[in-house]
Amino acid sequence: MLKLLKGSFIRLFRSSEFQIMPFLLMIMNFMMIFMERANLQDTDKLPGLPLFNAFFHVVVIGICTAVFVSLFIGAEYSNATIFNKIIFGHSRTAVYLTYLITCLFGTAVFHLTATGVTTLVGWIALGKPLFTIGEFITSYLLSLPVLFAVVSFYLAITIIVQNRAVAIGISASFSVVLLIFSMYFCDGKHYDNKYLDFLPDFYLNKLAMSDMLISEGVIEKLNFPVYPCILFGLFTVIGLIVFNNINIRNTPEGEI
Amino acid sequence: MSRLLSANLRRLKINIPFYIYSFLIFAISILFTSKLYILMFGEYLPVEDAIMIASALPAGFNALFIGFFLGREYSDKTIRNKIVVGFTKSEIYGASLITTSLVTTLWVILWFVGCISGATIAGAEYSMESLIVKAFVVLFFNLAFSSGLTAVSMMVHSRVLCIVLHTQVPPYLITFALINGSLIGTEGAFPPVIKEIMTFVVNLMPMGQWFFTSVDYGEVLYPNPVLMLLSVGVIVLFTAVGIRYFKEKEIK
Repeated sequence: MLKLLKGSFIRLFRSSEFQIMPFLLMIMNFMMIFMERANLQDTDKLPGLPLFNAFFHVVVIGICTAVFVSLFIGAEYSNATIFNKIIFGHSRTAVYLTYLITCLFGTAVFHLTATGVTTLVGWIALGKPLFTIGEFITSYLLSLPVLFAVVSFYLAITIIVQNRAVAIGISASFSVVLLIFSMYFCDGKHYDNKYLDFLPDFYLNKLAMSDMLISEGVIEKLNFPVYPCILFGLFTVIGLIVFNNINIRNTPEGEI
Repeated sequence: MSRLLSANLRRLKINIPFYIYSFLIFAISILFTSKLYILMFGEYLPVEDAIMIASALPAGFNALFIGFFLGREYSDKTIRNKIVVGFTKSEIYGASLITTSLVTTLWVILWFVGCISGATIAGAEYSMESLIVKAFVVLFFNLAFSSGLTAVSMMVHSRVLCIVLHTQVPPYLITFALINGSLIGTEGAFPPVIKEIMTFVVNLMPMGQWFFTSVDYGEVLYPNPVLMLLSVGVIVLFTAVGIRYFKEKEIK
């Protein structure tokens, strides 16, 4: 499994989707910072960087993760790498877990990069952050299990579908529908409703729009995402069971 | 061209995502309008505004559908075969554009019927006349958006790349329109000429039209007939660019 992991990580760092994603997320945050900066009446008196500005990209991270996982893992199907790994003698469980770990790591890294760089740029543009380092780390760590649930879901879809284009289509459809439904519920009235955390995007939207939804005590009100953790376990088990029982094709798709 | 169109429609008839998306558009439109308060504001909106927020649904699902539907023509070499049997590239492009426009029109109708049903369920009062006028604005900006997606789909060879572009770019265009529009209202942020240009850009973009018809953000938008004319301009522009590139492109 270590050799598989090493190979996957090398491919991850070289993959263009992994390199582009942090920039895509950062652009979203920078646009918000630019708007706040341009709206300032007095540029000598900077208002400070609110927490939601550093985490605003989590609104679109669901769609970005869907595309990232489908492209990254789908490519392994389209060039028959998965088939070759199994022929070579690696167990299907090891192959699946390798992909899961790689995708989780990739997502955590581009989420951290986007958040970190945005905080630095926001500090220059809007002034000192209005949150402490502890609050920043807490928010980041709380968002991770939710992202992991999202990743495990899209990985299971990609593994089941076995076709990159179809996997992207299905994952992107799910991410858009999840985003619509979570935005539908994401208001001041439902902020404390823990059952809605079953919609991972709902938790992320709470984080991205925290300052708009509630005026103070943002971090205190963010509960530990228990349901996303359950979803993560569930999707991983489903993915593993399906992957251990499907017939893996060795014919490349012939698409880029 | 009628043969190409009837083939496209036959493919549409057996397309499962088309039926799923149609159902979702209808169901979400009813949900959004019957609740009548949206997103983070936590307060009740006038039914006209609630309806307009859901009006991006046809565009959103088009972003998922068009790449899939038209991209498949490349991946299974249908476009190449169509050219080999003697159809011109303009005919192929025209048939694709008409098919996607028909889908968009159908989805806008579903959105409208869903919204009216939702508003009736919620017991809201509304003026049918103003809703119909708004529905035409929605139809035109959705057609403008779908013509853009069609142009991208016909220019890009890969279905994967096409779907990625269609799903990744729109959220940024929405944010761009939102920022542009909010900066227009800021006193002294930009000189008047720049503000005029920014206002024009927001009005020209389908996302800008959607966002500022659904959120009361001051006097950003032009009158409804001008918005429809601008959408027609966008359709003509995208179609001209799309046909030109599609004609020049070598089909593998």
